[in-house]
Amino acid sequence: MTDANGAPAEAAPQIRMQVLAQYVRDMSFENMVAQKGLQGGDVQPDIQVQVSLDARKRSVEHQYEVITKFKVTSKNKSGSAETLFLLELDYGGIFHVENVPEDQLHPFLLIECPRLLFPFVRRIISDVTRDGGFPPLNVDTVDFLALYRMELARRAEAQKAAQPVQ
Amino acid sequence: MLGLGTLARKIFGTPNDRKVKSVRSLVARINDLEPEFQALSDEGIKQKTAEFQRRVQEGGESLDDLLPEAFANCREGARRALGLRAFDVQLMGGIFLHQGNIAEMKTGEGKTLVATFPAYLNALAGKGVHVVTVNDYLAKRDAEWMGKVYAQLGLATGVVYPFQSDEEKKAAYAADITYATNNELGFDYLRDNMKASKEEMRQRGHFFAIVDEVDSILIDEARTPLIISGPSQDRSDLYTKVDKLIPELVEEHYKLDEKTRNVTFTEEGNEFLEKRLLETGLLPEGQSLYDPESTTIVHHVNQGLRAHKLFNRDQQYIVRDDEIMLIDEFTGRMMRGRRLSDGLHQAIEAKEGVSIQPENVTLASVTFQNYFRLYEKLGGMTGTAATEAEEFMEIYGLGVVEVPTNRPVARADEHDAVYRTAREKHDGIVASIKDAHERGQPILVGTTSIDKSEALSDLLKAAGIPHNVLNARQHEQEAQIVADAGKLGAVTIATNMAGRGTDIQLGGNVEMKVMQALAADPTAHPDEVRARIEAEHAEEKERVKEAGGLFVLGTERHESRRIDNQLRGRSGRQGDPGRSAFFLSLEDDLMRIFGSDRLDKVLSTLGMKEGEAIVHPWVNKSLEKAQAKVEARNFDIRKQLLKFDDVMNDQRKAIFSQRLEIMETEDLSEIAQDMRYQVIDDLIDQHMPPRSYADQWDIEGMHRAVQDKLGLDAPLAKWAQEEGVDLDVVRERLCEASDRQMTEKAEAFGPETMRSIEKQILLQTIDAKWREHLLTLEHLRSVVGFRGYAQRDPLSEYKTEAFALFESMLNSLRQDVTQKLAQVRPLSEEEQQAMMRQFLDQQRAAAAAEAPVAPAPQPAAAAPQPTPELVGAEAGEPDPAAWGNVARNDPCPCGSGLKYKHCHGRLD
Repeated sequence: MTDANGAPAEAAPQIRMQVLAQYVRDMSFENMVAQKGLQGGDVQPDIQVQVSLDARKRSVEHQYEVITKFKVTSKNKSGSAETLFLLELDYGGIFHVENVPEDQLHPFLLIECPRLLFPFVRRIISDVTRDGGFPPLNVDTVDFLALYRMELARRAEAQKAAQPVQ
Repeated sequence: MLGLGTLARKIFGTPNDRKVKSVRSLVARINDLEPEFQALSDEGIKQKTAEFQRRVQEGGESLDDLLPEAFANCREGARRALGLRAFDVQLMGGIFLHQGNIAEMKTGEGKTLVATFPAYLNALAGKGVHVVTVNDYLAKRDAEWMGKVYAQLGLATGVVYPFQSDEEKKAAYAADITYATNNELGFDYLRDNMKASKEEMRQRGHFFAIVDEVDSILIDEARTPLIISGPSQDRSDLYTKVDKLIPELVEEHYKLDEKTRNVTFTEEGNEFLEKRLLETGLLPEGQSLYDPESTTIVHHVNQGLRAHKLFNRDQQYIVRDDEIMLIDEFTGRMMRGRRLSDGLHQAIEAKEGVSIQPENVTLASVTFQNYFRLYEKLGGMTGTAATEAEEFMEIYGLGVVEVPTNRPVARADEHDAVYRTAREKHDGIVASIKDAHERGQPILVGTTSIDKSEALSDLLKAAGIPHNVLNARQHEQEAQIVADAGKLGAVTIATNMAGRGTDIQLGGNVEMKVMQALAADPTAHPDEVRARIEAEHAEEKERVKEAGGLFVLGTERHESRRIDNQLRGRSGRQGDPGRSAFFLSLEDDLMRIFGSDRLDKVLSTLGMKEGEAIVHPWVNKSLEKAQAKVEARNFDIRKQLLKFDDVMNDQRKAIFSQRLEIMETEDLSEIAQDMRYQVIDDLIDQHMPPRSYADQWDIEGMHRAVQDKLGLDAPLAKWAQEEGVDLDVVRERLCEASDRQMTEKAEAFGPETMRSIEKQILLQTIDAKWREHLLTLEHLRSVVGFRGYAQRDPLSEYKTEAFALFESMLNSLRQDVTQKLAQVRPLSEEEQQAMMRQFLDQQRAAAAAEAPVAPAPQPAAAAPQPTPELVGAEAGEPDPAAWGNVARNDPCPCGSGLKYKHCHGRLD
């Protein structure tokens, strides 16, 4: 719907974004302390969080599925560095995104959408680790913008490296 | 003075005489048959062989019944082929061999020909006869020489030697009579049992073996196991570093026990070493030698000490071409390619500063004792066996029979001359050699080690006596030196190797002389040269005989009377005159370590003066007692070794016969099924206690295990909730489900492929498990001796533990096989293509890597054989590193069908 005046300022259509669904897509929690009967005790865990993202277009117009993938590894800091637990979580959401210019769509899907999903991911990780008998793990906030830039830089680097050397 | 025993022997004859007498009638019958066989045509002789074969193989006639005719035929065959007519004593030897005895025949009595009789007779049964010699040269020579006889008789001869192709070997073993060395036979046996199919095996059973120089093979070598091994990781720099410390040790740091050939650190030594190891950084700060982490370094240090204190250059080994070559303590020969185990060889390599070869891991091993006990029947020949008769009987069930010589021995064996010091002894030896040399009598001087032979050589040089030295260093000229040893006035110093299997002929070797003369003057007519030389030779031989024949002079008694007798036996062959004497001193190793105190007293009673030798039967007796003591000790060691090895041998036999059965069986699905059922039983036992209710079951664990081991996603939880489900029902359902799964697989693969997959998986798993098991047993054996400190018998401890290990090996074998079979599945089209691509990439990479060094190897040979139908561990280990990030819940890229986290991604 356009205004009768047809003012140019109004010409840029309103960005529309809506979360249609959000869900745990895949999850794996391996509690090695319990499985191997390790002594829990007062071990110092060394926790690593890996994040990766994926976005794809759905068959329905303007709909995208965005998946945040978290891999949390906890290792014994001292001694033999055996794994204490290993958590993998694919948390996804279906977004309705409209009127985002083509060149901005990619960053939008990989920065804005994960930002919306993250609090839920954080809660799940916290719950699951607690349920596994560990102190609940509250993952630090992820700066998805910085992550995106890093990824871009990495790709550019990779591309350069892949260029055949004359 | 006649003792009771002597008197009885005079009247009844020795047991040996009786044995000899018992076969005289057989010999007489063979002699009676001789004219009949002489009348046959060449063709007739061959037909006789065919007739005999029919009678044995179809008519069921026993070989014993056939003996007179077969021997008569063989004698005639040999006469026509070689122009040699066997003497009666040779027939006798043949009969003893056929009866499964050791025939003791003096050197030069024609043992090679003797072997043909029992070989021929037993070959008639069509199961193959092995004639075993000590080296490849003799095997080839005898096979060629005696092959003429067998060919005359219509039988095929084969010879086995190293580096033959599989086809050649197979053909040689398939021949009626096969000549081979003991090493090659043993190794082929081991190699056969690492083969993947029956068709590839070379040997065809172990029916009858005739072992030449049987004492050397079954006694001297019995302690050496044959080992097929592969290299393991390299620790060479540690050997070198440790080696630098050893020379710093002084005498109170270690204790050397020459008697048991052992060396250990003393308390001071340990302290000193720990200090030095810490200083050099070999031992990390704050760690002591007694910590469990220090096991490796302690091992290296111990081996370093042994390398320095127990192994002397030119005595136990020599250095040649950047390699340490061990010397056989009995024959003085170099043992090329033989290495000490357990890092000792590396330690010696470090000591001598040659390049250090990596340590080896055993893949398969067998001792000669056990290999030769595989034969249904065994016969042996040697010049000297009587002293070890007890051992032959006890271990191999072989009797020893002394076969009378064709002509009586005309050698005079003198009593030992005993001096007080080594210096006096050497003076005596030189004087004696000088005397004999001047009279023109050829002399063979026997020494016990290379450096002793060289020391003596220096003494003779100083005395101006020309001589030859024969030891491991002169390997190449050996034949020449032996050929010359019988010449007029020749002096030859030899280690006790002195050409076993070759003759020292009085007056020298005619063939050798002819060859030399022809080489010097190629224009001369061979026949003329030969006639001239033969005439010269006859004259020289006469003169040597007049001088008293060959004089054998021993400079020391060996640890075994048998070796002394061998040395003596070089003289007085075939009725030639000869003389032998041993020169000893109280400083000789044997006397020093094993001699009794009585001897000292005896000598002082007899009143010994400087430079004077004592020759008295008492001394001889005392010495022989000392030797018998050593012999008994060595026998005990061998017996002990055998007892330990017997444990492994029984297991080896079980595994090898299983293997053979698997190779022979067409369809293994039943065996696989049995294994599967057994695994199901085991799983149920583990997770579901007997007579328990469903709620006591470890359903989750069981489910995981079933999925892991059987590849089945069984609805166990559902079953557990059903009414009236007990263990038997679960077992039945699981068996059914697994059967169904395998049937489906078999259909998907096609029955042929499935069978070959089963076979491959079974064999590969058995081999891998057996290899592991061998290693474990080796380790067990190295520590089980300590149980003695706890008042337990190490042997029986070893037996029980080895048996438990064996059982657990079979257990895990079943599990592995079942698991692998459960995980095998046919590949989809795309997967096959992907696999091919990957395979080609690998090849390209391999070829690129090799290119600068050598031309790219043939791709088919270089890369592991692709088996496109197979996935899983068999299809070449997949490389998890190449898969990148795989989600924990994703199916494992290896294609097992399991989740990654349950398969290659499993955290352990």
